[in-house]
Amino acid sequence: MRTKKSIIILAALIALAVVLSAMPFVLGAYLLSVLILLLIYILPAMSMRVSLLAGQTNIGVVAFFAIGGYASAILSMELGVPVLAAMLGGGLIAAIVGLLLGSMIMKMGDLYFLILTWGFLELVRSVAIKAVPLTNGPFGLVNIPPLSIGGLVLSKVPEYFFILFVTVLVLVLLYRVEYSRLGLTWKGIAQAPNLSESVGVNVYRFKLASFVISCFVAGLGGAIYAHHMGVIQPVMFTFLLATTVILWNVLGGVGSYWGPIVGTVFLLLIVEPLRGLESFEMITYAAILIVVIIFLPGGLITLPKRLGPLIKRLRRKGETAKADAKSGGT
Amino acid sequence: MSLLLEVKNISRSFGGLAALSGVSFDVSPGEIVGVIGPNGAGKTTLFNVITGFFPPKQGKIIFDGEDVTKFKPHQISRRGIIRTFQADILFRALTVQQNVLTGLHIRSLGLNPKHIFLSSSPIPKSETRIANEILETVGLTPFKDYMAGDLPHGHQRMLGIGVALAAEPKLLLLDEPVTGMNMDEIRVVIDLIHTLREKGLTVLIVEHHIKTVMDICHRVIVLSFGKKIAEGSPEEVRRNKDVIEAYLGTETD
Repeated sequence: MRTKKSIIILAALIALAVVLSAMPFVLGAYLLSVLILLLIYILPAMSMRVSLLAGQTNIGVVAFFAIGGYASAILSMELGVPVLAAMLGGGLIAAIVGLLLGSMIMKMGDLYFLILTWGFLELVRSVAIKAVPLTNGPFGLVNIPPLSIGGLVLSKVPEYFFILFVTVLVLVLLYRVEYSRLGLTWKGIAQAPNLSESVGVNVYRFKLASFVISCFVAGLGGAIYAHHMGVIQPVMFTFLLATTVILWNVLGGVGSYWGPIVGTVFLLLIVEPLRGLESFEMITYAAILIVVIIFLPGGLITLPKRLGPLIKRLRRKGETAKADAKSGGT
Repeated sequence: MSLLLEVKNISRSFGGLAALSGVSFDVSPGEIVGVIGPNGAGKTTLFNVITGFFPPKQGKIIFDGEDVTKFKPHQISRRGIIRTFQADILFRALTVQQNVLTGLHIRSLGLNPKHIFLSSSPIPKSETRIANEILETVGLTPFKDYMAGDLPHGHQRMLGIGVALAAEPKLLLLDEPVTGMNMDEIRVVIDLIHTLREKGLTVLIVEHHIKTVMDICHRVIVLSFGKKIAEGSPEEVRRNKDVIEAYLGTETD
């Protein structure tokens, strides 16, 4: 049954689709590449949300992003695997590594889990630097084959649409999962694991599943990143990036599916105009973050809800001020 | 007639404190058995042992002929023992309807990709219908889309029972179901339990509210300091000297 709200959302999505489709013809090369990066980064942002749904913080998302990128690059360069299959392979390998890691550390409790997934990033980076025959060490892999379908290399505009398509597809799939009973089971585990157990949920298995799916999505994102950039180096996968992925989720709002998307878009968009400020860039960036977190602790997606009562209050103040002025004031 | 639940000589300690010592009793299908006792008697620990949240130091739990003593909680739930909780009653940040839907996990894991990706809504209408029926049974239909955490306490406990019912219990363990309810709500719970019993459900109920226990239970078991001190019909137990002494006249109404 179509409610007014779902019609508005549908209209907004269609408008968004039109705008996004027009972008490659409207934006210059630099801005288009920023937009492509934004689309790619939405994948690790959403991948962290998948693990958050079940109550776990997969800070190691960037580690799996890297594993997916390296795996896909190596598969396509060393083993001649076609790029599309290599990207899926990158995601799968990231998922398998996640399965191994997760089954080892998950029983330790959520805090240790967080710390160990964070530490895993450092481990992955060290391996990337040291395993020179495989990863070419600190210089990384270059000349990674660009995105191609059936041997046909995608030029700028088709590449954009392909990445847009993949991102939207993953987003739609994750939306359905979050609103299915699987999503409910995960949310239940995060809120009351004992209650979940008592309705027959194998909490361990479902938590592990959310972690593995999170790793797959991050790995897939990393694979697309690698083939888009053409280069992959250990120095790309920093703790700053790991913290930024957390920010995308927290700033956007952890209570909503749209949170990570809003957070990623917001943070990547405000960085661009700030570049001109040079030495003030970092301070302004940090200041904006602090202001948002103080005034919107639930994240940016709570803005519409918060604005409502605020606008009402301002209107009332305006009316009383007008009434005072009319009666000559006090 | 075979026994549904056999609790055999259960002992469980925390640190040096014996929460349960040598507790034994049986439950037959279709019975409503009450477990009462002063605070700290070990009633909730008993539930935790039966449902697999704590393993006993000694003793066995036999359900429907199967030794479930070492089973994990979700395995015991799948065998048909479903409990409600005193704390962590509900999924507070889910709606009332969503809470009940989680209980359907026993019937189906909810992992069917056709449902998740291809049907008109990620949660099949057949499942939503079952959830709505249960909401009707516990009288919470008007609150279907409210956040569970926003409900008044009595309704929250009612919803907890609804979630348990969604999991199709053979044996329902109610942990203080009427605490914080007014007399009208208690009446609803009592009627509900009678109705469920007619449908073949067996109920084990821990409760402080003596009137409720006397009203609905066929048999009552009394625990004190981890030991079973009496067992019998509600009237027998009420007159039992040891029971009266254990409560020291501090009967809650």
